[in-house]
Amino acid sequence: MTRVLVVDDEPPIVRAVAANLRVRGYEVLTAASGEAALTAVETHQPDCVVLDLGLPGIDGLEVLRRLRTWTQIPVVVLTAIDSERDKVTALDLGADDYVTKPFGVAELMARVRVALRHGARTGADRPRVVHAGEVAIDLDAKLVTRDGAPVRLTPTEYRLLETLATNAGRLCTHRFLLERVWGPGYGDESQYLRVYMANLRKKLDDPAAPQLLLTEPGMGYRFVVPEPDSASAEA
Amino acid sequence: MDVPRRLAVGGPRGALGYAVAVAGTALITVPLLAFRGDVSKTTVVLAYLLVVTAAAAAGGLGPGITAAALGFLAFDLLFLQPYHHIIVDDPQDYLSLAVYLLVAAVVSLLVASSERRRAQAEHRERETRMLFDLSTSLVAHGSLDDTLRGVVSTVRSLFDLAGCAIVLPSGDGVRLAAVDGQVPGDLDERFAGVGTASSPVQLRGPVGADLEPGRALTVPMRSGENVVGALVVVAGGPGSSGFGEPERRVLATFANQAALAVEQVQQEEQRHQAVALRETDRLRTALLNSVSHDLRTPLASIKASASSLLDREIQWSDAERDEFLATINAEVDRLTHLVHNLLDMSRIEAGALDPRLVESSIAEVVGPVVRRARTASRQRVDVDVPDELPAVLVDPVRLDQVLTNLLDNARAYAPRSPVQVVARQAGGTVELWVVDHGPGIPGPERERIFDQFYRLKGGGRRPEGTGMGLAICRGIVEAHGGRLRVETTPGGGATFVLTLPVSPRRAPLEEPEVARP
Repeated sequence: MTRVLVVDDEPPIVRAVAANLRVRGYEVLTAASGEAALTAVETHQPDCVVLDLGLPGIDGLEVLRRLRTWTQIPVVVLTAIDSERDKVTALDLGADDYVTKPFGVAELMARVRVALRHGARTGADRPRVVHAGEVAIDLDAKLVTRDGAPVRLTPTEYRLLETLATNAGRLCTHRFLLERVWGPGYGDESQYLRVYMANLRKKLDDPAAPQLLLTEPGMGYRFVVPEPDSASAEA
Repeated sequence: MDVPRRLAVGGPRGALGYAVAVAGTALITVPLLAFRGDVSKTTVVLAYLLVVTAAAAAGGLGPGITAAALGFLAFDLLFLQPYHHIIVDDPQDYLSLAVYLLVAAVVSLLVASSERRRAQAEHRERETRMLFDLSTSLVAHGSLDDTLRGVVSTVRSLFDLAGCAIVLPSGDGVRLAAVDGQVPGDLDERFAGVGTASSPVQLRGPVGADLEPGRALTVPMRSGENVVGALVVVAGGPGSSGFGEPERRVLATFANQAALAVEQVQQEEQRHQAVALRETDRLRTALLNSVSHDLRTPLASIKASASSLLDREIQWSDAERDEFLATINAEVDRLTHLVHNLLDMSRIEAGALDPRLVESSIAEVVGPVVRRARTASRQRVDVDVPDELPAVLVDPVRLDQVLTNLLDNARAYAPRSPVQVVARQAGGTVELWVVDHGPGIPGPERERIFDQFYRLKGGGRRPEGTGMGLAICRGIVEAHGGRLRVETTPGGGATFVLTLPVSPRRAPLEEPEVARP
């Protein structure tokens, strides 16, 4: 059974999130502080962590920092609406995604599902072809098609698309993309990204109303694969 | 003060020199004349040179030359043949006269110049001592104006002035930053000071000019390129000789030193203001964070619960459904409480609390609060409120709110021990004590707990409550004309002391009991 650890110091939130996870068939652990969260991850080895950033004592960012020294366990962070900087910091530290409080439970459940899927897929068993609507990306052949017709991409455009597609559903921060595609030292050059994302959208998406390559203002980009089960459409 | 008051040199010394020249020549001539046949020409010449030296030393070059001329005439007319004639018989005597004149002139020059240098050195020393005294007055004493007051009184006494003032630019005009003695009354109008927002501030006006020729002048206070103010000095009584070059020099030097001091103090004041502003900013941010956290948390719980209930994919059990509803209910209460507190707080801050004062007895107010605490929250409360206490003028609803809050606090911070509620009359007031035996409140925090959004820190857990309770309590009590403070309970714990004024109206006398058989 998939095991999820819910970390928040507000009992009503923990109760609501835990009930929702249980009813969807997950096993749920809870922790009310950063210290308890770190212990729980070590002893119970959950498959995913839902982590509130505003914890008393060791705060959520510090918990994340310590977790990332030894595990790649998927982490979805819960943040306050006005702490934009914490959000970016958490993502740069290796959080898989974030949900802003107050959140609808369906939205959180969708993020947890994506995080779990991605967590399970790291390593050798990643899919060889990513299908997203009319676009297909063959990662082995480095071949991109739209409606079956090959699409011509520059090497940088391809590397950017590949990075986004292998992290499908996740929010990729500017820094993450820049360092993956252009290399370390390019982390602050977000204008490169804007140019290349615009090109990719022209070739693969509707630049006026993007469906595939979504912008998260101020944070990064998300490659969206329509969910096979339409019930979990995002809230 | 042992410093010579005035630097002026002049008249008296010169007169003394001429007196020495004339009297010396006469005094030397009389005995020499008596022995005219016996003394040699050399002796006579040397004797007159002595007079020249003395005159030059006493009065400078002028008296020296005068003595030389007098000596020349006396020597020529009285001691060289033929007597009483300028012409002399012996051609060698011309040489003697010429040598005498030359030597006398050289001696006068040398003596006079060394005398002048000595006098200058003395002046410089006096100036230095004066500047030192003035500089000492510049050592900052607290505020800028305090320092400047010290400066003007020192300047006035050192220069023996009728009045002294410092004018600084202020806003669009000028202000008299410090005054000592009598100064012209229209200083404000004389300076068209321009204090622009962009530094440097320049003072315009009759700076450096004589306000009344020889009697009153303004000295610019320069710091680098900028004139940061002006020193206004008014000479002493009618006997005073006004301002000579040396005084002006000392005043100018001093005014520039004062300018530096003014700038320094002004910068210090600006720095203090900046620090205070930053502190205010920090408090405001902390306040905003606190309120936004307190508002957001219940909203998040409500949203999570409500969105769960609305999810039609999930079949919730009755127990789960009830729990979501209970959460929504409780969180709405929490939010309501917070909003009430925020509204009370803003009413208090706006001075719009407007308590509806009714004459009431303390016992009437305390009773229901204690009953609620005992039943609803199973709190142990001991009450000691004597019946015979005078009535107080309070809004019973607001006082109930204050007491409830104090009892809630006692339960939160001292859950394991009973709370005492004690009332006593103290002069024209009634004191109501809420005594707990918990951990108490550390000294430095005793005032801060009444600040908005201040919460006692405890054991890493986020403190309960809104951080507004005590601020509101104090606001309410003060709106009643009372006071609220906290003390230490003997043996440990916190004692909140509520002081309320006794109602000025006399309560109706109790009806005499009808004697029963």
